[in-house]
Amino acid sequence: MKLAIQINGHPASSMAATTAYQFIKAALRKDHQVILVFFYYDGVFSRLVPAHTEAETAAAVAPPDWAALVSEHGLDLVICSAAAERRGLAALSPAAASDLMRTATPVGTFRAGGLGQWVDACLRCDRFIVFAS
Amino acid sequence: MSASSRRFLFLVRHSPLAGARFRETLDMIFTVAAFDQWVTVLFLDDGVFQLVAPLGEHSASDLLWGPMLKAMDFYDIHEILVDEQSLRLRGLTASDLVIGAALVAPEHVRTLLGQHDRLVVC
Repeated sequence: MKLAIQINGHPASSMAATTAYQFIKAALRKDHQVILVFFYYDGVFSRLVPAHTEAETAAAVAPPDWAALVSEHGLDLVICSAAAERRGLAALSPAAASDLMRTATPVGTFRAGGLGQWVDACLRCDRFIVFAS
Repeated sequence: MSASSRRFLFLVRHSPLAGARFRETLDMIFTVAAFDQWVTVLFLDDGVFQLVAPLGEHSASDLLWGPMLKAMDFYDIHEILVDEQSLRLRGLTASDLVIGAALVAPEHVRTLLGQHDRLVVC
């Protein structure tokens, strides 16, 4: 089944990104296809999410490792550029964004995009799922 | 409308106090409409306040996102609906709404979900 995912919640104050990440991993294990993960509203902060301590990473529900999903499954992670710009994120160069994180999300994990890509995925997918804040 | 078109239902649940959030919701709604898809918007919970003018004001122009909301006509939004129970729980009635919208009974909301292909919780 072709899935399109939207993540709306801020990674620090909602479980949206973490839940979506777990869902996506489970779906991929079942051989479903994820055609787009779209970050909107405060979800765009996923690009800047601070690195976690080892204790947090070892916790029962580990924080999202988006870079691993991209390298292992070639997922398309799109940050809405308009939403990011509204939150002052677009102005950050990849290097500056990395400075804000204790462990940098590799450059190229996320790509900037727009609502056109989101609608396109909504029309092509079998199921569209929103992880709200 | 082409054969491949989908029915989108947007659930607006946040109040105008949620900053630019509604603006971003309208961006989604208008983008889908621009792709010539069927669009229904349902305001519920605190979302109903999006259609209520500030105290002492009486027109859609006085709404925070009034000019953009009025563009819904231009974009051929299929239906603008308001959850009747959300209004009632907030001491509001249909006469408080400054944008034309049809009231929906809570038991009809489930039917509404079943009539659409894509549910977008905003």
